[in-house]
Amino acid sequence: MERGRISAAQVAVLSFMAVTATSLLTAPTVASSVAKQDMWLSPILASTVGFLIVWLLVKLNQAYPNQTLIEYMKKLLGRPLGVTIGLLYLLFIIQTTANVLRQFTDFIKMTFLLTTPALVIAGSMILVCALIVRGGVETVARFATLLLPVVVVLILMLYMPTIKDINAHNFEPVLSEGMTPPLKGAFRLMSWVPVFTFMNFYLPFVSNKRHMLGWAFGSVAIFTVILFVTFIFVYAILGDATPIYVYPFMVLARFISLTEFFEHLESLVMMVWVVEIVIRITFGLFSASIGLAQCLGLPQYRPLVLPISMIMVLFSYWGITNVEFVFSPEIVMYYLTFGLLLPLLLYLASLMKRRFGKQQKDTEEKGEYAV
Amino acid sequence: MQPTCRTLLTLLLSAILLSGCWDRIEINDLAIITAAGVDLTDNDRIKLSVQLFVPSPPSSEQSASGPSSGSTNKTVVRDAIGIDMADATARLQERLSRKVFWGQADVFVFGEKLARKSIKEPLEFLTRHPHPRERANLFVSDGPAENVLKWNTPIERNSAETLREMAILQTGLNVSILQAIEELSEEAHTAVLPVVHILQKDGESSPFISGSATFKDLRMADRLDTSVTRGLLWLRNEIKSATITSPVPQGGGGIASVYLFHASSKLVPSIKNGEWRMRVVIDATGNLNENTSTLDTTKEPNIVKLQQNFKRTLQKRIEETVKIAQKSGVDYLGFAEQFYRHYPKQWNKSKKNWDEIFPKVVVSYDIRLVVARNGLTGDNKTLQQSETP
Repeated sequence: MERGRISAAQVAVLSFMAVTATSLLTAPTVASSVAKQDMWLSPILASTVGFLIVWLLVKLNQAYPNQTLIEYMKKLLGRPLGVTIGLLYLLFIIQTTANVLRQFTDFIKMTFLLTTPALVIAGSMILVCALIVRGGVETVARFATLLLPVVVVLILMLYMPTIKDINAHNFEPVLSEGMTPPLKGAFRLMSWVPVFTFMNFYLPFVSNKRHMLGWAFGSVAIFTVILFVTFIFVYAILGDATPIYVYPFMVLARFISLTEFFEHLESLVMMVWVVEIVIRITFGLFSASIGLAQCLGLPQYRPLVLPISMIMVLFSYWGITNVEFVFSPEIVMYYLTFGLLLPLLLYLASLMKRRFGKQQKDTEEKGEYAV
Repeated sequence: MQPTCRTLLTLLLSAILLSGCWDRIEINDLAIITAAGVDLTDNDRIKLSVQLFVPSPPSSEQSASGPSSGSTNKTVVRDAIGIDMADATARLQERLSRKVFWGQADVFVFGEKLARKSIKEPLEFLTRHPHPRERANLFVSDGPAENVLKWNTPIERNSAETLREMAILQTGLNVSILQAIEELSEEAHTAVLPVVHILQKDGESSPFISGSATFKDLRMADRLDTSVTRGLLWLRNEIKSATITSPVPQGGGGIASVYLFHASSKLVPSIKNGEWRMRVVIDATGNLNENTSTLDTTKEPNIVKLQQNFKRTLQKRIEETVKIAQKSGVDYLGFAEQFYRHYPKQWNKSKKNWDEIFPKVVVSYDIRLVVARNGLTGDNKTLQQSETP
């Protein structure tokens, strides 16, 4: 179905860039609305879940090296149940990716292109992503690696001039209400971290699987660091005003004034945002396409890419009247169910099956489930 | 389909997108707002006046017109009345041939009458609307804000630019939208904005920043004069440079001045036995600017004496501000935030009674002022002898 081979490092870069995408712009608001000045601790707490998720995925991948979550779910839970849950899982991928598309369109429509029809913005974005995904897993992974320096340079360009505006006193008092607020903040961040589960669709194509666990942990670690640094910068400069802005990162960029000459840097935010969103959507689109093909037992996934793209554009409007929906705490449970609970259950099932299977076919060769 | 056919078709199809520059707008279709003033009318409506920058492209007629081709850019002031800011903007649009553009608005002036009622209306609009920038300066004007905008300045391009430059010089306050929002969302819910005063002299009006207005819960509470505002700047650690002049009783009744080029301050709160205390720690370094006293500045002990005098004057200046603030009961000094940061538990307990606690906070001062250099002259005997009868 897919003959491409990618490296563990590429998967790591792709994953953390995809997960960072929307969190960069809106996560500070979400976290600070509950954790206030202790919000910088939230990404660190949230990262534990991220580490758990990637550990589960890599372990499952070691048990079933050449299969994605959809395939080994069919094997573990039996065909009818596996396909049903698989379809639900794909719906989750499509819907969350569609949410990201919606956030992107809304951001562009609100701040830059006010009269351009939303369909044109969403359509041109998804078209680019569909083309990348049709290029195969290698294109998807390399695209992220290719654009990594661009994003890094642009983000540094946004942070560096703001250093002089930093007010470290904004973080006082530290942990005045104990660990509860940062934990709540970490919980709210769970609408980003579980996106790491999409990684399972890329793991079968990794050529150097020995290093996968290290790179996967590195991916979560870098994501945590980026979020942590962003939170520090945003709260050190915006202070108590952080929760009132929907896009604090954007406010930060607009606030930059380096010697009254280097101003109006919001276009840089736009560039970072577009690049990151492309990566996030390709990340989801490839997962959904290959997942659906495997779920339905099709020989090819490429013909599915465009139809799924169209479904995503539709999903970015259906049922979402206002984008604020994306920030609701309820959606966190949705993310956690598919992002954390499903891999966890599958892992437990694989452990049980291995033990059970061993007793049954003790005399048979045990090649398949070697861990 | 042939590959060439396919390429051609793709190219042709992409041409469809070329027509779709929905958000294309020419610069001469924009009404670029450089400054906006918000006033309250007699029937509680918002009066929005804007200063527009009208760029006129260099044309052939202009060069023919002769020497006055230098600056042909005009500044125009227009106004509109509406129920709220958004409504007033819509009304304003009706009166303009160009599209209102907020992206370059660097100065927002609130009329005093509006400020006394509430600045919630304009601030909400300015933060929600995607165009106005967070770094734009906020001012309150004595009298209607419109007059400030109408003023034609001789030095800078327009009055907006003048006000912004004055604010940046930091002789008074320099408050951006973001700063105001940040302060209002802090524990005390207060903010301080600089006040623009229009000086009438010889039939000519020249606005300048004179003092400040304090806000409590979005409503203007007090009007501070220039010297009290300077004291406030010391407390807020926003002093960049200052000149302190103090009489020298030890030196035959002369006067001495110091120019402080480095200054920083810190508020250190403490709560002991239920008594709320605030220590103001100030660190300043400067050069001697003028000395008409008989003290010989080449001698170390005399410098120490001068420093003592300067310290006393500085302390008096700050004390006065603290006294006025405590009397009014509005905590614009940032004490509440400091107590919250250092004593979050006690603060949360007595947050509700802050208005009663604040006037009773005991303030002490810890000033370190160093006269680092004496200027180009040492013991200036010549001038002092000629003065003595």
